[in-house]
Amino acid sequence: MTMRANLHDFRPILSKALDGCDWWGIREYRETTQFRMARNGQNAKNETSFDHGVMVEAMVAGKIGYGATNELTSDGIERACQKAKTNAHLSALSSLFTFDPSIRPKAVGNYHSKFEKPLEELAPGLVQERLMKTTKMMAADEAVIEASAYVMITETQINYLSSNGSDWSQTFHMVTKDLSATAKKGEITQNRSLGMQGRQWGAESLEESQLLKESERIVREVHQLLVADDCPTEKMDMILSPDQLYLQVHESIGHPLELDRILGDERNYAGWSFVGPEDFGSLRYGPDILNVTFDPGLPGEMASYQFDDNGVPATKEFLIENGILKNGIGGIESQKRSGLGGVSCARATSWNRPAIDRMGNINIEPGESSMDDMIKSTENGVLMQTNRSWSIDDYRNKFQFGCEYGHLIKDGEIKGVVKNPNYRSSTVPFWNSLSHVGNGETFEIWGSPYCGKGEPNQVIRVGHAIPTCKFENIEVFGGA
Amino acid sequence: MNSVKWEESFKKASELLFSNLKEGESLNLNFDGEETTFLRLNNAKIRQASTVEQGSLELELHLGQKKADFGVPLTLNQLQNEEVLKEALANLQKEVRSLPDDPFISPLTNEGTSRTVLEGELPDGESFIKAVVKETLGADLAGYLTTGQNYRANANSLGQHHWFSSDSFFFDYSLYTAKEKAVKGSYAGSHYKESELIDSLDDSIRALEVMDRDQVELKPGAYKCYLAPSALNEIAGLLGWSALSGGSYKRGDCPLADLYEGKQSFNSEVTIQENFNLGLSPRFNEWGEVSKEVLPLIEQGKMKELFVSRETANEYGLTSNQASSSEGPRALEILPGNLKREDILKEIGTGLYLSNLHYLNWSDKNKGRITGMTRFGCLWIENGEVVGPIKDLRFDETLYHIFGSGLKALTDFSEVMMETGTYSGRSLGGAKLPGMVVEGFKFTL
Repeated sequence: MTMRANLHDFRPILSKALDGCDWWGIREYRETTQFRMARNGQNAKNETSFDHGVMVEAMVAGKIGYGATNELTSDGIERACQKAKTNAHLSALSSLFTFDPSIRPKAVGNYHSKFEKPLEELAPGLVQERLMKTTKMMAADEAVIEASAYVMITETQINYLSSNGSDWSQTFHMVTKDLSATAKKGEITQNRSLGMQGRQWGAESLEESQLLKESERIVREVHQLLVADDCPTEKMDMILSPDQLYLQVHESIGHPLELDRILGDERNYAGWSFVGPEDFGSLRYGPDILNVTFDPGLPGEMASYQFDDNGVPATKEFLIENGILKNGIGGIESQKRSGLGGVSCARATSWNRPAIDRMGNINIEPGESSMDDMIKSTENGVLMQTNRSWSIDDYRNKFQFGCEYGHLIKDGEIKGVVKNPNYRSSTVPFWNSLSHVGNGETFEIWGSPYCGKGEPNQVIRVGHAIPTCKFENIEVFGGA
Repeated sequence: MNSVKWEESFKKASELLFSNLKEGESLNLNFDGEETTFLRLNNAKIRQASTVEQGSLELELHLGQKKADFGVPLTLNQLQNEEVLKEALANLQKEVRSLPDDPFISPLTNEGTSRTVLEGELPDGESFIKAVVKETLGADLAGYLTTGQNYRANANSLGQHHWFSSDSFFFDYSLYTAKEKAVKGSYAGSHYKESELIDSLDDSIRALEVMDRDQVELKPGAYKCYLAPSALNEIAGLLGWSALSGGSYKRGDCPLADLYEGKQSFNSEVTIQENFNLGLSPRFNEWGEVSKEVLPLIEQGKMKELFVSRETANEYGLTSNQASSSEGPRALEILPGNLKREDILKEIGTGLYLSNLHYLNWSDKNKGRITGMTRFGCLWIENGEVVGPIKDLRFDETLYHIFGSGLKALTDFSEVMMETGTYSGRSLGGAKLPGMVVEGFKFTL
């Protein structure tokens, strides 16, 4: 869709309508998403959505009010300004905290996500043709009862202006894709998938040869699952691939470190945290080999950016260093409220929500172990791949995860495939059972476009770059 | 209220788009709009106050066996709308011709017209926050007020037209003790009264008193449990995740496949249905098809029907029951039983009173097994008496046990729970559910 609104054109309206405010800002969010899907060799879905609107922020006596609209006219912007001012005055009746304009530092610049080939190469008919071909190949297998493939191609632009001179723009090109095959043999039904790969990238993400290669692997592995034994139920060692471990990091490191959770904002919905303010600098989250970073600069991850939505420059920071908890995941507002160190992570899902603390890219830094080291050091264990189930409590302690595909490991060697591999544990004991962190050869970029929290609810994209890791003596179990 | 203006915007958009269709094309339109104020609270004080005015229109263009969708903003400004809609339609007309055929497309039909306008009395932010501050003096409250107008509409180029608007609000909150034990509260509806808000807060403050008792730490194992309607609502939510979907069944992805095939059954006291008489959501789906007022899904423990959309019906040769494309419930009701409120603790005897559950997911989807956590207001009961709040537990149990062999009683009362989801926009819908007592409910961590 053509870009017509120019934020600078609205500056006179904003200056007039918000005259007398301590500070004001406007965030324009414009996003086009194509969702295309094929099933069993047939064209199934072609949906495009174009979203475009603005959020006006007005600070009055240290309280911020928000007004959002997708009517990008003088009248629409003026109404949003009035609502923002009304909400700032309303907040003054009983406000949690009084800020000052320093929480919106002046920021100027541009960011564009990296790609090899432009998304324009992905014409609708071409994308659909590749997805159909991929699913046709999977569906040709006689055991496969459902083969599907989808791709979500997203182009996002955020523009920002403020009364104190901020003027920045960020453009992101993202692709999320998945392939899946469900197979049945007698009473056994199993599913194997790619595991929803989402990254900032371009048309190189949908090379036909790569899609077909992955499809072949998926069909081969779903066949293995149909005849595999159930995962054993016992305490044993466990090696987690990055396509499972990224969600483990997300749920049991990312969320509990969010400062807005620790401050209690999320208690009624997403939950609180077992981490308290006193834990920063002292809590042993894991062994010395555990190093977790907030890294907005790693090209390709879903949440790589130059500024967060408060205009704060984003830099790489250690959250856990040599196993010790160092920093929280909290933007400038949460840092002021808590007095704790944080990162540039205040983001909003779109133009229609205020920014809150979000994960960004939360990564485990690669270690020194090779895949071979991890397997050879395992007397009795299981290797699990590709998440299919996740659940954790509201303090982020007791969790349970399930995976699509597992391998038994006995006496340092990979044995047969097992189906329905699951495990459960509690966060701090689990991370302290970490015995090996994989080296750069095992390091992969994963992420999710669907991290949910906030009241009102907000879904956001997060990145997790993760090596394969090994944990000792974990409660593992199989299917019903 | 801008309901009339939004309806006019939708009407003008429809006329513009339908008049620009080319030979052989037909067009289906779905509109979502809202004007909503959110007051987010922590420590009973405002953390963030925001107001959103938004509308979006989804265009579904058909050309023979080809179909494509395009969603765009729709506003109260006709000039902006005209510009955006013309470009969107032109894009869609170009794209649809570049796509391969979709063999399972159902042609659009004219399913008639309807108009529902539900007016109410909504809270104003200032009096609301003053009442909350006064009533919760010294208490620790987190949550949010969501209040405003919601709009939904559908029309197609064959003459079909539906309009739905409603005024509604909900205040979804929780209260905390100094020892971080909590109870959940909710006040929702279409006609706000400050006295009802105060009653809700007072009830929650009283319920919080018992949470101040010493915490009981239980070992994993099987316990007799009472699931309050709000706890059952979490399980009901999971049923919407492919468990009642005809398409999921055909694709080998239905957790209740064994129930559908008669290999398993629920307790004969269990009857589950879709009931649009609850008045929480429009009866028309995204193709304008109007559902039956009441659609039985599970009757006396046996699966009677799965949700079947027109697309699934076309693909698998089934009969549509006007389900939405997601084939999940929009107005789920589980019918009540005979257990009286005053007999709940006696029926539990020794076991757990679970007010809320949290973060449910399938742990073995093919077998209908689910996992999740206890959350707000969960108590240990001994000999029919409340002992104290429990330390959170993880459960892992099959739906066949919960609704089947383990089910001991359903309460004789039900509660209506309005949908409180606000991802991208306000959700509509809800559920009407009783409480239930389940024996041998398995906890693992």
